[in-house]
Amino acid sequence: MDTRRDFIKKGLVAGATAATLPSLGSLVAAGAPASGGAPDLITVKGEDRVAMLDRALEAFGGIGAFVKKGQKVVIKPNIAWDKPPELCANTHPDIVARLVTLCLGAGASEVSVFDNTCDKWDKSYKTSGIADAARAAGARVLPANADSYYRDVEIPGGVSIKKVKVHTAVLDSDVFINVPVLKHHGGATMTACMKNLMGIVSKADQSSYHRNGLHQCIADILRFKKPDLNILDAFSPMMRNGPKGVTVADLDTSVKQLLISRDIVAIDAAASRIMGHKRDIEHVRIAAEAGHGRNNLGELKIERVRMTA
Amino acid sequence: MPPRKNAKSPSPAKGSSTLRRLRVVAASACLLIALAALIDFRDIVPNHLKHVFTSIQFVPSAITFVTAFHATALACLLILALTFAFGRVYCSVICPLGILQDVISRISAKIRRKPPYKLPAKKAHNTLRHAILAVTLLAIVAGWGGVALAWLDPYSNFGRFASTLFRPLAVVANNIAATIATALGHPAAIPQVNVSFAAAGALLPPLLIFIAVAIMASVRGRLWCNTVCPVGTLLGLVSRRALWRISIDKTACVKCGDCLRACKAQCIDLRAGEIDFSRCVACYDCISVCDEGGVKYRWHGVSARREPKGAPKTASRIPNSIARPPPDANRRAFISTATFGALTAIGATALSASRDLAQNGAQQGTGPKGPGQHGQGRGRKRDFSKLDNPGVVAPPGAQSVARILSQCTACQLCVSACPSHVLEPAFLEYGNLAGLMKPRLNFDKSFCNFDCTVCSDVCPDGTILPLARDAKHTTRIGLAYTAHPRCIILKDGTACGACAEHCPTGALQMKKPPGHAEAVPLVDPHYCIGCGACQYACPVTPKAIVISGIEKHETAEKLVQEQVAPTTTDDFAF
Repeated sequence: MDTRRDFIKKGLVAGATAATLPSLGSLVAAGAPASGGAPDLITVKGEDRVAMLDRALEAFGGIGAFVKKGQKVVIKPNIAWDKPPELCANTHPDIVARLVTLCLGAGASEVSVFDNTCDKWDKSYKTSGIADAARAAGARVLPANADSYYRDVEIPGGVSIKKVKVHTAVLDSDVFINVPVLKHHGGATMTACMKNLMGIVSKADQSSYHRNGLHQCIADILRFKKPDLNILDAFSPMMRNGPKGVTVADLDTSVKQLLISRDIVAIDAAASRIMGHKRDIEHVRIAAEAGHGRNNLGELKIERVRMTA
Repeated sequence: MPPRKNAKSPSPAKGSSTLRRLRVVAASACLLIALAALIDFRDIVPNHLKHVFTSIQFVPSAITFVTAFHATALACLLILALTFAFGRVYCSVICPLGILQDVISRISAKIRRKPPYKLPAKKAHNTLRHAILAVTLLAIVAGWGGVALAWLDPYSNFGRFASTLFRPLAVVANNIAATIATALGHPAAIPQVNVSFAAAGALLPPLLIFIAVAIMASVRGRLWCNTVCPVGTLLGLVSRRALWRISIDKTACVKCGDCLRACKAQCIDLRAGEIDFSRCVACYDCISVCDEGGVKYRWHGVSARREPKGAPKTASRIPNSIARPPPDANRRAFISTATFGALTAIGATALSASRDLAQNGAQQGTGPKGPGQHGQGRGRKRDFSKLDNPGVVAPPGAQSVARILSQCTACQLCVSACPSHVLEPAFLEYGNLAGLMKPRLNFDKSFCNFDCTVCSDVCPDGTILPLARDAKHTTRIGLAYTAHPRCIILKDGTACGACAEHCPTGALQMKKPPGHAEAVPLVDPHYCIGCGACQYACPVTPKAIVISGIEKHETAEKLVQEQVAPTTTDDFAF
């Protein structure tokens, strides 16, 4: 629901875009909500992660487009590492907290947050700031450190994985929201939305991914389930030494973007461009070829928004 | 566990003394704190509390006193002073092993439906206990203190019982509760905790000692403290002529035998009206059961050798089986052990000081870090012997394998406090029996968290010295060796990089060597600290990357890279 103020703001943003970037004149229209329904992908550039999230969701008609009253929501951030928010090795806690608030505001019966971490789980939950922020916003922060939290599922038509243990929170929820952070990755080339789904499977399965063709396995899990919504924190992507990172010097602090899409392949294809890749990363290509989404950015309806401070 | 009055107990409710009540409350608190510190599987107890409580225990404090002075080193002097004034208060109140024996004794009495501590007086096993103390002191002088104390220190024995035996049971109980909570729809209420049992070789010694302690406690009260425990014997020598002693007032004593039956140390010789105060653990049970006020704490002074005399009021009810210890043998043993003890303590101090000097020298001398030239980035893949037979890895802060062997008493506090459970009690990984039960890092199970300094924060005897987080970041405890033929990137042609993914220092990078199509893990030894994240993450067996420990820890270089260049254009990149 747009207020008059919103409309004026958007107009100003669009104007500013056109003024500063004449070469991208074709994108001027992107400043305003696309006519004819929601975009395939929206990216917002700004200074405040929470405002950017709100703005991006607006393009889809708000969180209500994804979460209905009484539904169980599971949010899967990247909480892999025992690292503080400023090192951007995990999803920023502000984004997770805001999302929890929005889901509960939309009438979700419960919102769960979890990740199968690489570092010690309770330390990572704490140091990342995500556990406290999510709990304060009203989420159930679930452990994922033991096999008993997982159930076997079949992967119909899986090439490298046929059977995998998936966290019960994902299996028992109505809405699945994937909220990773964008990073370089030594093995998978890039961590974004698809790679983040490695955190919904058990430790043994994570290890078997590495043994059985990482890229194919990352793509195969999409045969089981695709997130209903993907939100990518690309505020300060980690450009090297990923996915753990060494210092803040690994971050590109100029990017300041947030990407949202229902299409996990499209969002990762776009993310790989931010990371400087000219061609699609292997698991993105495999997933596109298997029909899990579209990777041809030229064909997609992309909305690009600049938020002024 | 506060003892309750038993209806069948020799003590009618009347005479529970204030001293005894104080002792029971303080001892219960000490036992609970010790159990909490060592069993804490949810990492709730603050590390400094774990450190402070355990480092005031006698042996850890004495080791700190001798090797490096900290405030907690004063605790051993305080305990000695307390013992010289009032007797073995340490054994009855502070020592968790002592209190545990009281608990076992009470439980076993309940099971056998006998009132607790109905034990007849017995002779002291002086030759044996003085021999054990002498051997312990001799071992310390000979540089084998780390071995002797690892087996005999009462605090460390308790630590192993709690960490190696009780903790896994507590975790199993937690996990049963967690399963129930999950079934009831509250998975976040009680999270599952991984159960980690010590390897059989490291689990067996504490199990056998626990069985021995438990049997001795349930059958003979404080027999362990007064026969096996070198700390008990040492404090016994000090307390024997304590300034204030519990003794029998022969004018008041009716020789009813209540005190004797209440005594867990079996040290009251009622026939002679004397208490062997070297074995008395200052529990005050005898004071509280005496209706006549015949057992009292009294000033004996330094030179007061005579007991208050007086004619017995009534006929003796003491059984004939209770013999009286020959006092002369006692005195002789005391003098010889005390002299020997003083000499050995001085020797140990000197020895340890020289060892520290040598180590400091070595520490400064660790010039160029790691092999190979700077920037070569080749790793150490050629040394395959390291892969199949890697060196043991000692905890960061321990400085060297030698310090673990000579100083650590294997109390397992670091093992139980380690948040990532990479520390485990060694079996023969240190290459000898001296390393048995002492902490080592097992990278097949977990890895050492880059930012974590818990083991050095909690170590009570200063074997694992405190490390600041920044120092930890460059403390090298081992080095990574790669076996590329085993690496699945080359073997199976698949992307992996799990090892590089986990490397916290940037020492391990995925790079394409000349002539290679695939990027493979390459270690730059300058930056590797041996944290083991790579070995843990490696998905193949046998591991394609292995950490080999180093005898003397080193300082690694810090990878300094320029800030990532910001994207020059202000666009969206797509």
